[in-house]
Parts: sequence; C-alpha cells; structure tokens
Amino acid sequence: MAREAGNCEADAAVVAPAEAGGDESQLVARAKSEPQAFGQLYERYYGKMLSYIFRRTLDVALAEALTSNTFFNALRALPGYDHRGKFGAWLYRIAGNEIRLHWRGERSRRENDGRWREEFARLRFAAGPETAEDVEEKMRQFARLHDALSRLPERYQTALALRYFEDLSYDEVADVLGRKTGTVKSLIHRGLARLKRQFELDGATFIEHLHSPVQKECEP
Amino acid sequence: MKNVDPIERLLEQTPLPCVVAGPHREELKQRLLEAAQTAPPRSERMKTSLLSRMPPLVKLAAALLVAAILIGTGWASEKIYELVTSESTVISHKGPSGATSEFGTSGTNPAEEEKQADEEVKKLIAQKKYKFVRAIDTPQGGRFYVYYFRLSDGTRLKWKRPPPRLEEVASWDEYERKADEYAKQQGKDIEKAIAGGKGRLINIMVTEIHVCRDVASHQNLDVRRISPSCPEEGTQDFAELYPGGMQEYEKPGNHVFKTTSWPDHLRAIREGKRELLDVRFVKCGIYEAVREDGSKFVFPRELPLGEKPQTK
Repeated sequence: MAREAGNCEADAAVVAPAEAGGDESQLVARAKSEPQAFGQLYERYYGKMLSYIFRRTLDVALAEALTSNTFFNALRALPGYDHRGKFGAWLYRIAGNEIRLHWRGERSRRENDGRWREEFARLRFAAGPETAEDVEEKMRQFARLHDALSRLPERYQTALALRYFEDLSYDEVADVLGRKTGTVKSLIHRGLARLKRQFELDGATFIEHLHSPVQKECEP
Repeated sequence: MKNVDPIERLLEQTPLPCVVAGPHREELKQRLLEAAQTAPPRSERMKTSLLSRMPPLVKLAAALLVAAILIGTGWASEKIYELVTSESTVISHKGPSGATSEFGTSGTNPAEEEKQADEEVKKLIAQKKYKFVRAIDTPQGGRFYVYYFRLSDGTRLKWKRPPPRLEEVASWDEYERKADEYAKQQGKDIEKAIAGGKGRLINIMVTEIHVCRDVASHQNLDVRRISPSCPEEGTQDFAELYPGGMQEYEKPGNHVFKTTSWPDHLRAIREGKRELLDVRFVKCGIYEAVREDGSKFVFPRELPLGEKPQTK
C-alpha cells in the first residue's frame, strides 16, 4: 500500500508520542492490575482511535464520545482479554461496535451532513503547515468518498476503512473482524466493486478524480 | 503493491484527515484512571459473578436452557417473518398506504381495508410515527425511501416512495405536494436533456412481459418481471400484474396494479389459473445527462432518445 497511515500522527499535537519499544503484551498484562499501565495503552491508542472513528463518522464531537465509550468498554473487558491477537485490533473491534451501535439508533443521519465543519480548526492532513483552504479542499474530497462509502452495507464499510484508511494488512483486518484472511480478501474485493458501482449510481462525478494525476496524499 | 483497480487507487490516494486532540483527551484519561482504580481486581470480580458460583451441572443445564430458548425464538421469528413478508397478492394504489402494503388477503373487502389503512397512515405521518429503513437508488436513476409503519392491528406496512423524505413533511398532503413538485422538476430536467440532445446512453435494460389471460375472469393480464432493487427486497424477482393489460394501467385514474413474486406467477400458470399467451421484451435505454448546475442525473427512456417516453 502506498499510503503512510501514520503520517498525520507524526505531529505530536495530533496524537501522543507512541511508546518507544516495550512489549505490548506485557503492558496489557500489567494494565489488568495497574491503572498506570492502562494509561500508557491509552496514550498509545487515543489518537488512532479518535481519527479512525472520525473518518467513519465525520463528526469530531461524536468521534470523541465514541472514543470514550471505546476505552471505557476496553477497560471493563480488559480482565477477560486473552491477548492472543493484538491489543490494537481488539480496540478497533470495540470502536467498530460502538460506531455500529450508534448508527443503529440514528439511521437517518448516516450520510455526511457537514458536521466536520463545526470543529474545522482541529482537522489536519499533514504534519507540516497547511492553509485553511488546503484543509477545506482535502476535507471535501474525503467527505465525497465518505458519502459513497457510507451507503455500502456496514461490513464493507468497516473492512474498507480498516484496510485503506487505517492501513492495516489483510491479516490485521481479519484479526479485527474475527474472520479468516481469505474471507477478508473477498469481502474487500466485493466492497471495492460495490463502491465503484455506488459512484456510478451517484453520477460518477467523483470518479473523474481517478484519472487526475494531481491526487496527493497526506504528506509527512 | 501495484494498483490496477482505480477505486483502490482512489482509496489509497485520497488524503486522510486526522483530529488534533483537544481537552477531551486529558479529561478522558483522568476518568479512565479513576475508573481503573475503583474497579475491583479480576479475581474478586470472578467471585461475584453469578455464573462462577454455579456448580458445573447447573451451568450445563443453564446453557441447555438458553440454547432451547434461542432455538425457539429463532423458529418463532422465522414464522413471524414469513407472515410479515408473505409474497401473497399485494395491491398497490395511490393512497398513503400504497406501494407494497398487503390488502385483500384476509377475505375482507380490499377497498375498505385500503381506506382504513390510508387514514391510519395519514395519522402516523402527521404524528411522525414511522421508522426509516433506507434509501434506494435504482439503476434507472430513481431514488426511493423505505419506511416501516406499524398499524393498529399489528400489521407492519412497508412504505417505499420517491422523495421527499417523510421527515421533511408534516402531513400526507404536504408529502403529495412536494412529491408532485419533485416529479415535475425531474420531468423538466429530463425533457430539457432530451430537447438539448444531452442524454448519453449508459445502459440498456430489457424487461420481460408475460401476456396472459386470467382463466377465472377471462380478463387479459400483463405481467412484468422486476428484479429486487436492494438486499432487503430479497433475492426473488417480483411480478407486477396489470389487469386488462398495460394500456389499461396507463389510462387516467386507473393506476392500479398487483404485485406478487415471479415464482408465484409461474406457479399460477402451472396450476392453470393463468394462461400464458405470449412474451414481450421491452428495451429501455438508461441515459445520463447534466443539469445546468453541473450535477449529473440518470433517467430511463425508450430507444432511441427523443421518441415517445415509455411510461411503464
């Protein structure tokens, strides 16, 4: 994959600096009895979860609320966590459940309705300086993609977001979804086909961007 | 990894937003640490768990009981689902309860049932008592919103209509007015596109029509085959039944057709209730055009574009 998922996170203001080194499974084991260790896990994953949920909801306030739920649920369930998979994958799964639960109660507001503008000043695409116009334009681009994605069934949205927004490998996505890698590959393949069809149904205006050579990703 | 799929390329290259952490981050951390300090340790929690205090045999019995309840619930749900989503005859009409509601299957007067349901649905719309299910965009360029209504006799009524959304109106009358405006605007857009020769053919759809005769009434019957437009509509094709033929349907004030499943229609032929006389295949072009504001829209028309529009 070409994207560097952590590029935004290089900015210390965006997320906390990741714990350098340190065996995560030991940290998780300690977190079961030591609150400070859970605090370290929190620091490590807060930014990732907040941005992941924001990319799925395009609403900063909602992303913060669901991030809170994610960490509280993780804290409650931590004693039963067997750390066979990665802790991050487990958090992504909890966050995904929170997003699903939220939308179940609010089906009518599933499409992007511009709430990202409410906290516009807190949105970033690059680690370096950006003009407000740059952010606005990139946000519009992302919102168009989000609109199309949000019309797909939930399972495709989650799989595609984990793979392409969070830059997880197929194995990691499988770990999050609790499915086999082969199943995830075919899920993503079908998701891509459905997303393509969704663009075509929407009049394919955004698809024109596909042929534009000026597409740039978030630079580190 | 070499990208061959343009959609995959789009997903990989669209810039990703990140959120700068605000005060929420520290607040949440404090709350989490407080919660972590007050939570009992794992071993203590296990002791207080009801399940952990049960003897193994009681646990087994409880598990079996839960399994039996789940199986029973599943069976009952399936039966209820069958009742609710029965593919038996459905009558569509232009009233508020129309589209895909089920009437006339209980032996009572269908017209009376329709009238009652219409009144009830009008009230429910005014009270905003309905559940939005989803929006459907059809390959023919149409958009529909699906809602569920729960009628007083417990019937779940599935409501599938074009814009506007029910949330945007206060009454059935307002819905009708806005729907008319929407349809007129759509019609204008299409006519403008046709007049300007701007429609670009993007697909050709072929519709199968069985020309039949109803054996009991000796009445002609056209049966149009329709594919489901979304997963919620199941995997079976529908059959739209036009008593007297499609020409009758197109007469003013006579927009009534019945809906059943395509397998039910084939069964009716096999059982001798319907006589199959002929089959027609109607080709319909799907065109894409651009409005003055630059937005694109899709619409169906007979081939070639510019000929008389096909109403059904």
